[in-house]
Amino acid sequence: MLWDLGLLHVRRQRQRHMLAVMSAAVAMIMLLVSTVLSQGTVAWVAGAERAFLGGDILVLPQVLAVPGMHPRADAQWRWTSWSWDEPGPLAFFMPWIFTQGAVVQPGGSAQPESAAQPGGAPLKALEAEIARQANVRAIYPYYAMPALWTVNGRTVRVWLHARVPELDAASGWNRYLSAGRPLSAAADFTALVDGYRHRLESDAAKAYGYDRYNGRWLVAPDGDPTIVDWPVPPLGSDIRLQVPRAGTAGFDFTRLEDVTLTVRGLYQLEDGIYDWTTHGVTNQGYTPGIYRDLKCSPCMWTKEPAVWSTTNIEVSLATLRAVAAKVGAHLEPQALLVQVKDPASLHRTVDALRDALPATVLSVPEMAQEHALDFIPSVATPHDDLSLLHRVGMDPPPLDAPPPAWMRSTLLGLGLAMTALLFFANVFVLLYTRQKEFATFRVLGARRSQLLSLVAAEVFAVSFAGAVLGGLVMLPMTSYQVGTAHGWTAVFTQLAYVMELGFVVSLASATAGVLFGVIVVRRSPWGVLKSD
Amino acid sequence: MTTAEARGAAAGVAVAARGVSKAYHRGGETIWALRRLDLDVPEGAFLAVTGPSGCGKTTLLSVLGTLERPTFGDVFIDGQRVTGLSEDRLAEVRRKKIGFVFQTFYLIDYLTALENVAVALRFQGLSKRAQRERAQELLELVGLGDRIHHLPRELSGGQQQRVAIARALAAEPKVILADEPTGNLDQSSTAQILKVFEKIHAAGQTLVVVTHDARVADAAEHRLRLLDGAVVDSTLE
Repeated sequence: MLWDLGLLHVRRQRQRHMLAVMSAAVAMIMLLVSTVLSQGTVAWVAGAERAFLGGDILVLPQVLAVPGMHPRADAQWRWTSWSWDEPGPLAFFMPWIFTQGAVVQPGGSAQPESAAQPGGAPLKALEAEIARQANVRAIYPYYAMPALWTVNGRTVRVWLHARVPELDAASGWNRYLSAGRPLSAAADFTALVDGYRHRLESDAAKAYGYDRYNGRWLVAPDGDPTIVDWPVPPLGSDIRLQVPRAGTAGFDFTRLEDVTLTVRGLYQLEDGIYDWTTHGVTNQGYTPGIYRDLKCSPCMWTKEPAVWSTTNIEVSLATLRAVAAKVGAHLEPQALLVQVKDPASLHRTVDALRDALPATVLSVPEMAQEHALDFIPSVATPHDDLSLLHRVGMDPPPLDAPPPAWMRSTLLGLGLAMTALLFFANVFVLLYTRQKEFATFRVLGARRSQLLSLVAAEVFAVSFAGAVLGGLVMLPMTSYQVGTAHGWTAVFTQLAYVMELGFVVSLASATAGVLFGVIVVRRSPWGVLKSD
Repeated sequence: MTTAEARGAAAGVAVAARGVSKAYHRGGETIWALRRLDLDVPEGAFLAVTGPSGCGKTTLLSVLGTLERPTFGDVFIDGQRVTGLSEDRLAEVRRKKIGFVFQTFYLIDYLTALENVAVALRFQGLSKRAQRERAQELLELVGLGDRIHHLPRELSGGQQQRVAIARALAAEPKVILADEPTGNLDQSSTAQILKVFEKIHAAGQTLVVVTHDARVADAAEHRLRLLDGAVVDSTLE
């Protein structure tokens, strides 16, 4: 085979190939732009990625989640993004661009479906396996049920979380569910809405001209105010949840069922130091005078040193059980949270679990290292570990502006066509300027297949270099992160995505090179050489 | 075995043509570049093919070199009838039995002199090391031992042609077919090429050289003159 000569050619004639690399980079950029704009960053590769990862686990300093149940076929889950429905894996899609997207895969280990029925043998076996480890203090089941929440005519994503009371005090898990405040015994279930907090800070709000953005302030824990367009339901309003409808055997999420719930409590914060109001709705609780004249609709504000709440809605356990009964869902644990005795030997425990379990085990420091995400270290201490989960998803979905389907498909079609054109033009140039060379090799006795290997190697090298270059340029657009609060799992890196996509398009280019190449090397070498 | 094959396979004949005709079709017209041509090039011969432009010299070379198939007739290389072979079998024949030298050299422009020669050797299945050693020997043979790491563009025309000859010699071919090897060269370069030809001829290499150049024809052991695709004069038996 002559593939090494292809690579040698690339190396020796770098300038000549630079143009081809640049053209491939532009092609890759166009591919990413068109797919991301039209399909969302994550959705269309999430399934493959998930299969590649083969089961997920998120390990926080003192807590780790082990997948206990395999969700059924991916297409059974439907997600709404930009207000269109799409089937996808059990993952939390945030496919808008320029924000932090995330794929969350609650409990997606690669177990055979039949063995992974809710509460079935695998979960118990996993529990037993984990309990055998030396450093394990306790194992808690973890429940989560996805739902779509329609309020004020808009749909947002909601995860209904089953909380494990014992875990609250010890793990920091409660901080994620309730922002540090022990949840009341009555609220065993919490619906967590994307981890947004709303508050208006007097000075900051004025400085930022809050009154021009009524009700659309979001202040993150780090104090950055952000304008959001977020439907905040007033107390007492009805919200419509779409929860997956279960079949007879385990989950069967082929349909979504509407369930109407009444918001009983919103924005849990510490008593006495917060209040919130809505425009046109009776104020609740104590409203600090300084804020009394603010007009916002609806919004809330708090006073330092408040512990910022997520926009939790507390729904009573009885209500949630009723929901589950109505749609026939078996609320079975989807993951196990494992608490370790000694955080210092967390890594050893993780390693042991990694060996013992058919799942990917990642600890947060490892994730931080692997993905170089700057926010992860901020959650690496026992007390602040879960602030990560609040921050992801800070940017709300652009619910107001769903591009129409024709625009998306046109964009995708154009993007793909132009990408293909650029890549193929590259292949064409690489081949047609080299006919004499190929003919010479043929005269020297090279077989056609040998020449094709040269072409394939060269086209692949050039395309891959260009694709990765283009992909790196587009990294901000393809930013995925690790986990969100809602589903507990981790995910894949942008770089992996770029490499994979680059690999695939390069393979396609090389294949095209071989196909074109067949035509080129079929030409009589004598005819080519004589055409001088 | 047919008579023709028996004759083609006769011992001591490197290349043979039997009743070879070659037709080209141009714009509805049929042009006969070769007409029922018979030829035996004995092993070790140095044959110069001459004739006016368009007399079929180059066509003869391409047909003998298996790069083109004759319209009628048979070609034998080292006693083997090659006329009916598949493309890949022909590539094998070229790889093992034939070395080509062209007027415009056709060196691979991104490979050094050494690599240009070695690349021909890799089709022989030699080890990397053996390829390099043999390539170096051959370059020394053509007097380029001090230029082995130069790229073609860093060499003069004559030097490039000598690299091409070294490359043609790489496979220890039965015959070297050269098409106007000095056509692009000045006098001193031509003299160098002729010296190389004489040297390898003396070593027993069979050479068929198509040329316009009287000096090349004079240097050759045998001369064959073509006119309108037919042999009009030959010093071969």
